[in-house]
Amino acid sequence: MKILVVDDMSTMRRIVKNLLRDLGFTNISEADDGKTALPMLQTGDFDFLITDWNMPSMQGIDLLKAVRSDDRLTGLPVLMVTAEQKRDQIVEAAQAGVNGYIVKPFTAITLKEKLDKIFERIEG
Amino acid sequence: MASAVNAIFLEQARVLVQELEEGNEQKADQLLDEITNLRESSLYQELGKLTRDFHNALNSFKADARISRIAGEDIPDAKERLKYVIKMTEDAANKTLNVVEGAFPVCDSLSSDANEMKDAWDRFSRREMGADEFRQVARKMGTFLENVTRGMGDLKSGLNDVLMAQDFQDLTGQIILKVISLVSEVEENLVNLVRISGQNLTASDPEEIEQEEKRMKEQLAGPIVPGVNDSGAVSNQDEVDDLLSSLGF
Repeated sequence: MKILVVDDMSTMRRIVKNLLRDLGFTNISEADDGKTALPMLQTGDFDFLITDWNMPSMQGIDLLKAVRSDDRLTGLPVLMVTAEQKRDQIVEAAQAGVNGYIVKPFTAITLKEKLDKIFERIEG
Repeated sequence: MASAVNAIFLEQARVLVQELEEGNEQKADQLLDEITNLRESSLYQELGKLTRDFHNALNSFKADARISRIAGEDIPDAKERLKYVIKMTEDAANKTLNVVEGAFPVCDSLSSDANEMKDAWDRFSRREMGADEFRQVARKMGTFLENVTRGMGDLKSGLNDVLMAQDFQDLTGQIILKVISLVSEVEENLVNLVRISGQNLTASDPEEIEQEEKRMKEQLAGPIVPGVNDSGAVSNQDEVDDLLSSLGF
């Protein structure tokens, strides 16, 4: 399973990466913005995307929309991990086709639960 | 002063009426000119007084050295302080993450060695181990115990580093408190300013204000701070889950 973690804060990327590694995922790449993430996704054969929302040049929500509108990426599972917790925003992400939504600060257990749920639904 | 001027006006008006009734047009014209002059000069007096007041107000505003110091030094200084807070918290996070990332492999290797030793010990207890293998295991046991001692030493010094990395909290707390007190002072000065020039400020274009507020709203809200404008936001992961499940997730 190849996972891309997108967040503009390097500490948050490291935290997510370490949590994923603890859950047994070792093939993890990083990007610091939607703009750098999109070309990686288009060429990198990723199985899963974890992205922040608020980033400098391309927001996570726009990355999600770009993924859904790209024929080769449209089915990629996307988990949003963000500090944005306005109801309108969560609804917007859901409508854009997000597979899971985690608000920061979050725990290792929450991350595991959401990942399990997403995989369950994909396999089921 | 105004009543003194009025008395002169009244007196002159009476004379004017009298002159007009008597048909002295030249005299009446002259009187009219005088009245006009008088009126203008009193207008100028009022204007002069206003200008003086305005000038004094401006001067006292400029003379408030504290305000100019806030704008020129304290606010830029506060920005530097807050940037330093970001740097300190980031450094602390990185220090901690370094230790954690260094500790994982130590834990993994010790626990896999311990499992191996436990398997051997179980077989030995069940008398399933020959003398040769026992000698091998005994040697491994020696190495394992050495590794445990070294690994625990590494972990302990790592924990110490994590402990020390928390010193940012005290320092950033003090810095942020200073900035908060500056913000309070700026607030106080702004309130005074609004009070002095209140009418002008409230007369601002409401449409402009509305647009500015709309622009602010369109910016991402970021993390919710308890008690600070958290309307329309969820407060925890459970509420996110509830909202999503109500949308059919």
